[in-house]
Amino acid sequence: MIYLDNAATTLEKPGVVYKTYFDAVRRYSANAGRGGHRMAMRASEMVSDAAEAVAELFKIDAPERIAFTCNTTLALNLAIHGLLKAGDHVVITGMEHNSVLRPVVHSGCAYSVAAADGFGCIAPAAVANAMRKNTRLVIVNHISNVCGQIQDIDAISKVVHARGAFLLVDAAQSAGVTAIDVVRQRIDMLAFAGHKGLMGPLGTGGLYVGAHVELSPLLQGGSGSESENVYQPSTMPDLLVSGTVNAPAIAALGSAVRYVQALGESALLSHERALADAFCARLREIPQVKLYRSETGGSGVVSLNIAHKNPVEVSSELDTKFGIAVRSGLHCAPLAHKSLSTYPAGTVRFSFGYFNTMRDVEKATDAIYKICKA
Amino acid sequence: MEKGIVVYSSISVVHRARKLLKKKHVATHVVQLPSDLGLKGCSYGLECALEDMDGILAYSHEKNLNMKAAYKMTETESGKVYTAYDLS
Repeated sequence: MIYLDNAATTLEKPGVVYKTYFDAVRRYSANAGRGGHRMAMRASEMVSDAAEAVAELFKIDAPERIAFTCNTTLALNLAIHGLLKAGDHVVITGMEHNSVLRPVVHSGCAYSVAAADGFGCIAPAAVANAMRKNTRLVIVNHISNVCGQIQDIDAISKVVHARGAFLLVDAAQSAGVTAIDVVRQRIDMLAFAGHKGLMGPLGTGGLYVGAHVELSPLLQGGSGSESENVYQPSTMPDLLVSGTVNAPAIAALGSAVRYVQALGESALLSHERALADAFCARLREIPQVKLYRSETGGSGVVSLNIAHKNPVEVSSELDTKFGIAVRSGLHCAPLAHKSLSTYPAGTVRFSFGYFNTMRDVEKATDAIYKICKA
Repeated sequence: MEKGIVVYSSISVVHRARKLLKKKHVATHVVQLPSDLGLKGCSYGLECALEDMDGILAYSHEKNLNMKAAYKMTETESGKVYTAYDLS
């Protein structure tokens, strides 16, 4: 099987991730932050180590500003529902995932959509135009899970802060893939996946919240602290984290982050983009193939359609006849597909990961060529 | 026997403080504190030698490690006695 669905989750992980996970499960699976015995202390230390690794990667000065979650969706919900109040206005972009669109709609707040161009690029001016006097939050998808377009966070951040709003970056696809510096880029909140570009285990993610951002907790419950208090503690990360955490998975995420750091800044982007570029170059020779990718600003995610074929048919054929795993349809991002004019059928998405090779690219393009000829 | 205890805002900060202090060759270890101390914060802290206490408090301030309380802990025949430090 050739796995080209890394935007959903990276299938193969670095060896150190498996080792850390199994060691933690077998040896340190006490409840982190719940008890004074050595096993519980060791478990909480693993979580703390992982937070430090994530903090170093994103240039966060205080690791306790990171709340680990089970995925990016929960992180986004914590940020959106924790910040917004009645009367607030929100700006989202035309490339957002349902993990942003749905909580924003559910919040009941008025929202505007900053339009993307036909390749999924969001101009800072589009964000500025969508903002109002009462815009409290702007949410931007850093790398599109549909077409791989990378947004200019630096430029968008300037626009957002010039108008006094908070910036929440959805780094589901970008964490680990490209450099993120929350201080330099003035990112107020960063929601990230642990199991995609960071190559940690499934069920990991997190939310960074700047010290100047006050959130209300979405969940309430045991935090291992202030147990005499009937209200949720106000200190991070206990404010946002209730109940037992998945310490072994978080520990493994910490190892994954260290692995990615050792590769060097944006090493994954360079590798994945090189594969995607080669893939697109070959496909441009096939007239039936339509690619949804800009000449610049693309990552390792490529969407395409084949003339007169439904995307689901193509992905099914790739799976059953060629042993290639891709994802077709709307990718939980109907807004993005509307921006790309691929709604409602969607596209076939190929997403390259760190462990893919040029040989995988050749096999995938050969398969598409055969599908087109049939 | 007397020891110093520094209580931070969360277990995450406790671990961070311990690691930073270790780099400065200051030995501490994480302890759980009695809930009847009435702490309005994390119930975990760092135990240290009493002579390191002032240095740890100053360093914690310098590094913005959010502290909730500090104690001198004295072991007596009838149990441990905690005397609060003034953090201000």
